[in-house]
Amino acid sequence: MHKSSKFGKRAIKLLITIFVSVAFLLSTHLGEFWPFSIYPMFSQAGKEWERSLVRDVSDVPDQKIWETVHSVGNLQGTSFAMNEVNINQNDVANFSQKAGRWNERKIRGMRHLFRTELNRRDLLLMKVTGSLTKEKDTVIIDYTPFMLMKSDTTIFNPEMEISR
Amino acid sequence: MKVIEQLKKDLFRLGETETAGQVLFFRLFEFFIAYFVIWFAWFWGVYIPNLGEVLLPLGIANYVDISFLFSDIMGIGNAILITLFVIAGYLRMNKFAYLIAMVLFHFHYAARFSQGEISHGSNMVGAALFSLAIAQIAFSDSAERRKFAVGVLIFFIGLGYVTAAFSKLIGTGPAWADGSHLWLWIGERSTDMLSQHGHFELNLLQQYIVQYHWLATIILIFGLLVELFGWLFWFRKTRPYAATLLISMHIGILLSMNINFPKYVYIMIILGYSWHKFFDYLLEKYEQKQPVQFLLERYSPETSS
Repeated sequence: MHKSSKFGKRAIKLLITIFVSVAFLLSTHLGEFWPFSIYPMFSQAGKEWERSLVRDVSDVPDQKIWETVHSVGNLQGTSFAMNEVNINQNDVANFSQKAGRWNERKIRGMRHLFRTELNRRDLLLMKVTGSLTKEKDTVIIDYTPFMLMKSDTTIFNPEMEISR
Repeated sequence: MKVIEQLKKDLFRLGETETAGQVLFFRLFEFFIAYFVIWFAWFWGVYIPNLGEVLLPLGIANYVDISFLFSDIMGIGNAILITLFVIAGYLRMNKFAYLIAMVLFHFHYAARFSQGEISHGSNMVGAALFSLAIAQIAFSDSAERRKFAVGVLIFFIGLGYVTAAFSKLIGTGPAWADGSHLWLWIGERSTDMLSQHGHFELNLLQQYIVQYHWLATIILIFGLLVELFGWLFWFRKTRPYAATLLISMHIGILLSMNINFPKYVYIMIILGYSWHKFFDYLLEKYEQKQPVQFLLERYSPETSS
């Protein structure tokens, strides 16, 4: 058999084998088995999103900390950039969103991300949600305080029901 | 059947004798992939010790508790091992070196992205390492290894974009391209930017997008169509056009949503165009074949005659 045709047959057989294996892995792992993926990001358009934002509230009076606001300009405290602690903001947003039950281990995990800062200032983790109006002509964004991290304690928003 | 035959031919360059330019191109391509893998290995290696809890088990983390990787020693240690095995693979010291690097790289990814985010920024680099690993093991002829590694990667690049488009059509339907959805994502990304950097301002394109709904819709339609026709990347004749459109789409995503996939763009630039012709032209024009062939023979010991 010609060398090239032998290679062609072997290559295509191997490609099909890889393809079937990858399809199996993806179908049994919700479309993700790195480095393969069905790339479903942004596939569900129009869905409300939830992210996070951290504020330095060291100088904010306790009674004002837990207020939900609807614009960046009305946020309490001063801005805190994740770059300051070399943390990717996606990790914080996903952690706060997907933690489920906030047991001691998860609280420690979240505090661990900000461990270098908590002796110096009080940080407020906020949940930020965005959605479209019914008419789909405006994006509404709400900033809800979620978790206050102080040097020696962690306090959750008393007005939220949090599974612990 | 004709299309399948053409696909086989275009993916694996069947029946073609390699030129010096093609060999040189491959070694450069491989060098870039090795560099990207090492870059991710260290970038993640120094970040992983910040993490302390597995919230979302990805890949192997579904079966193995990977929290043992959350330490300075393990994060950096794995980066060192990946680096060494990638270099060993590049220098052809062992045919399993790339495969071992691939497995370690997978653990590294599972540890780095255990916090709930599913990142795709490194998928193409990972798929390239996977293709190199399989080619090294499955073929003994160096020319066949090169053809197979590039062919498999090109196949999965094209397939990835097509599945991305189908995910959108299945997840939302044709209404996915409604410009209001882009407004919502810009709101999401501006929150992310504010959180990461402490400040954020809409750029000029974003200002136009939030002002003109039709512009937002056109941008989404463009993105969806480009992804849907990602399979054109498989065929040699259409590959440069598909690459150009896909690169444009990535630039559009960067400008409109601040999402940057630089390694995708680099790999697309490397694989999308016939660089080997340029190398052959240079080699011929400057009659520098001998030194280049010496280098190829020296550092690519399995180079076929």
